[in-house]
Amino acid sequence: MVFNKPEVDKMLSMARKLGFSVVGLTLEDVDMKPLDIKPPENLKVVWRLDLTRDKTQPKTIDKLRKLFSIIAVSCSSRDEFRAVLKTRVDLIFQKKLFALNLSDVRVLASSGKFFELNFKPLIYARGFEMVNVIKVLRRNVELLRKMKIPIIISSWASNPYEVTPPLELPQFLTLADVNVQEFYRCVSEEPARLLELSTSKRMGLPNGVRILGREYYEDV
Amino acid sequence: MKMFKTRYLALKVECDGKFNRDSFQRNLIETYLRLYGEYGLSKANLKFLKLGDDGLAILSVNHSSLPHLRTILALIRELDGVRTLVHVLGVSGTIKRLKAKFLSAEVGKS
Repeated sequence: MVFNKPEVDKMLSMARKLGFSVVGLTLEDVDMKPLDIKPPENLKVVWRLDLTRDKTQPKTIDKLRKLFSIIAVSCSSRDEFRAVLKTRVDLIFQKKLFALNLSDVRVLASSGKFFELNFKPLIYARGFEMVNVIKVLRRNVELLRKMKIPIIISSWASNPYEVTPPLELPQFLTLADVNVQEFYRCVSEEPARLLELSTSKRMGLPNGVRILGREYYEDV
Repeated sequence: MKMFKTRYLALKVECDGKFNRDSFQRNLIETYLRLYGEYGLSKANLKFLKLGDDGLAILSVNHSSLPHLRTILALIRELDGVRTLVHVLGVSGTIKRLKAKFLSAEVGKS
């Protein structure tokens, strides 16, 4: 992705206007470092890196975790999906939409990773392609819900007019015949939990240990 | 018992260029027809009550079709080649409450 700073600034001010409090900016190049961006007031920016399957070696991820808040990995087929489940990434998303099956989702549930849904394919698909997108989306959402997988809903915006208001983000799930109100947590609580978990991974805390708060005492 | 409950939506259409009211109206109906068909659109009883040049709009819809309309609004990203974003300011059961709660602040801004 070519990082266009004026466009990103516009996106951030649009996000603030629409009511976001935290926004994730994505880089796809492993060699790039988070850029110095000044977000608008009351808006926090977190950096995320999208990896491909071939760049998910444990050493690479450990090194990148110091730079990025969230490490995600893309997959375009079921084989790739199964392979990336064994890696140390925080989040999995489908670059090309494909149908999951129950055993895939079971493995995903046991791996404790988050799954990202985005509705960009729905905006641009037309005709029979749209039919397929909705069909796959309905199947995947049903399985993910059944296995209680933590889901993150994102807009994948690449310009200010693709930034979707937070409460509008889960609306596309009406096409999957689910109650949208159940999915509001996917744009609020679940992303916050993902950030919290990735922060504890960065600090090297063992599994199951959470920082609930901090208190500093001065030696008297 | 009231059988056909209506919901009123306040919208703000943000455009990269000039906002075209006719284009928005046409695009909304086309997208609704494409996704939910003629039967769905007839059930929605969709009406454009106000459509200002400043991008503020009030729509009315059958309460059971509200989620469908919100999906459609989220999918509209272009009006005649102009990048567009439709932002639902709020939903209410009466126009009076809608104007008091969601539109008073927006009118003050513009």
